[in-house]
Amino acid sequence: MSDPNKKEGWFNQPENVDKLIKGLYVACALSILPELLDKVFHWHLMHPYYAVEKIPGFYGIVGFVAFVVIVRGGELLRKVIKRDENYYD
Amino acid sequence: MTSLAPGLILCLGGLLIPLLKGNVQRALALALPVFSFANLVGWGFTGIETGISHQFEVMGYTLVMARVDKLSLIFGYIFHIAALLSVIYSLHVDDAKQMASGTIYAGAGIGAVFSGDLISLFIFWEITAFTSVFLIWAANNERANKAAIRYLVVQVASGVLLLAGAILHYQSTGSLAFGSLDQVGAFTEHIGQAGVQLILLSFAIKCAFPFLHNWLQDAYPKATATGTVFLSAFTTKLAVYTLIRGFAGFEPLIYVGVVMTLFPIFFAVIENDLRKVLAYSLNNQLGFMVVAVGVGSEMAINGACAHAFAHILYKALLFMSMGAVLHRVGTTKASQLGGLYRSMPVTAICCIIGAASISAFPLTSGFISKALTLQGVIDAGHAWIWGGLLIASAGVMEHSGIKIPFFAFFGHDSGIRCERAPLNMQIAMVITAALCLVIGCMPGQLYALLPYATDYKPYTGAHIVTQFQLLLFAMLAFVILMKYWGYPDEEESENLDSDWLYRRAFPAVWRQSVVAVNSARSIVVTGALAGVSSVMSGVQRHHGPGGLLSKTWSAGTMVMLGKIALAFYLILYLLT
Repeated sequence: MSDPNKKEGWFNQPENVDKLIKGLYVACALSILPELLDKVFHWHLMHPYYAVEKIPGFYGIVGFVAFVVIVRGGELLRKVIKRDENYYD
Repeated sequence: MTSLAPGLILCLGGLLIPLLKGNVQRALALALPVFSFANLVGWGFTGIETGISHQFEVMGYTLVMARVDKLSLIFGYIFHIAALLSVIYSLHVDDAKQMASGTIYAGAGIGAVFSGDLISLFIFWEITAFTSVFLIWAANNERANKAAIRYLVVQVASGVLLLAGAILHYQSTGSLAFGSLDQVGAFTEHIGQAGVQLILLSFAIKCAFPFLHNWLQDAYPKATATGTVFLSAFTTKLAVYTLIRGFAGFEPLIYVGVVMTLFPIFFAVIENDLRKVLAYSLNNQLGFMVVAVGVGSEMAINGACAHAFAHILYKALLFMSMGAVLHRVGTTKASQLGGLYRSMPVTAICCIIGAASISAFPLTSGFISKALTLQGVIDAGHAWIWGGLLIASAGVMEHSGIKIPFFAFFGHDSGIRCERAPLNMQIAMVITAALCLVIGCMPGQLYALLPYATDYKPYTGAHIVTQFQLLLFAMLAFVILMKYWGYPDEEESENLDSDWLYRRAFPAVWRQSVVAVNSARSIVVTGALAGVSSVMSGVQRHHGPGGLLSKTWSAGTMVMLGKIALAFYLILYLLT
């Protein structure tokens, strides 16, 4: 939709999307920061139940890896179960 | 008796809706959940905030229409809220049949929650089936009509199993009671009985356990835009309630539940119809609750109840936002949508709030409710289950947190420009979104309604930090996949699921069997006929005209034969 007379929406402008993505990078970094500071200053902010939770950024790793695995797993599943849209008609 | 049994106002009042027209009809539809709620709250004033009443003797059985305790009350409250929000959302639809069936359906759900015996439960269980199916039929197209029939068959079968189980249970125990006051897991210790097993199977169907689940993804996305909002609230959460009441602490449910949280997320990734994505997401959410039921501790049961309460709201909100898109655009296929945020800003914001809530962002209802279940799982020492639920949480972020709002309202601009959703739809969405945020910001209000007293604090530094990490890095994975590694395209397709078994495999096997039986029958019949005709022709040959055995014999020949026989006899006589 590149109608020159029509102003593109804020979210459709690539520079704005870049801003959002950079904001996400910063947010990700910030979400790890308290855990690292806790390790350095011993605030006892984190109280892990399992040993794996002591790995810095454990939840971030789980979130990222699980997301990628789920998406790739979905793609594999699609190869097996995908049929024409009118399959049942 | 100062008040009516819970649910009756909606069930009986719903019958009046088709008799009225226009605004009077709408006013009644709005008033019914309000009156019903006031009636329920009135229990507190009449001094039976917890207790059993409205008992009737029918053919020697005691039916209990109102067993009021904290477990039934929390489900009763949220069902009323869901009923009112669904009615507001549906006000623009001029279809008395849908409004009436939705109202009676909600009433039956409430009636079932307060049923103190298995027969009352069965009656309301079946009413939910027979009324909710109209919400699918009302879509009025061939696919919806067929799906509605399949839905009805499954739901009625679940009811029949419940009745059969109740009868067997009565024969072995002499009791039809469905748990006493404040009791959870009434049947868990009797799991060896056939009746109890049938009851569990009946609940399992309604709760969409793996391989019993597909009626949900088949039927819900084919219902009307407004009908799905009703449907998403009652049937499956009634099943969660009955599982808590009947089978809390039944350990296999933990494993069933974790499978339920995991398998739908893969289907949701590749599903193009966003309402069907939400149906898979609903299945995944039920999994969290089923895990909690299986754990069965006070923390976990609180978790299941809080999660059901919060889930009804944010899931209804997500279905509302997609219903608004369906109403305005005519489709919820991701491949045809995108960039709608400018046309439908309120719907987009509400959808994002619903997406954030289901993903359990801090300050939303999902954060404060799911945490109880996870804590219950940790306390019970199920480390692997905890890991499974974490992965499932990333999956929720994928399909409901990102996919739904992104592909409908952002992403590739489809060029579609439409009107905003009708005002009543927007009002319903804004109220529901506000509730998601209020519950998330003030968890104490919801916690006070839970069956067990709790001083759980969801907002600890560690919980907030870890949850943000999980969700933000999941979002990061989405960005990386979209920009660099590749994210699967939205493709218009039919993705097979277990319904393939009864929509294709079983009918095909049946057809093949019929063909095989027919050909076997024709071989047998042809062989038999050939046999009969060869016998007949043999008879004809020997006894027919000119046949050897049909000849007439002369008297001389007969005398000769007699002589031979006599001679033969004489010889035998002389020899012996």
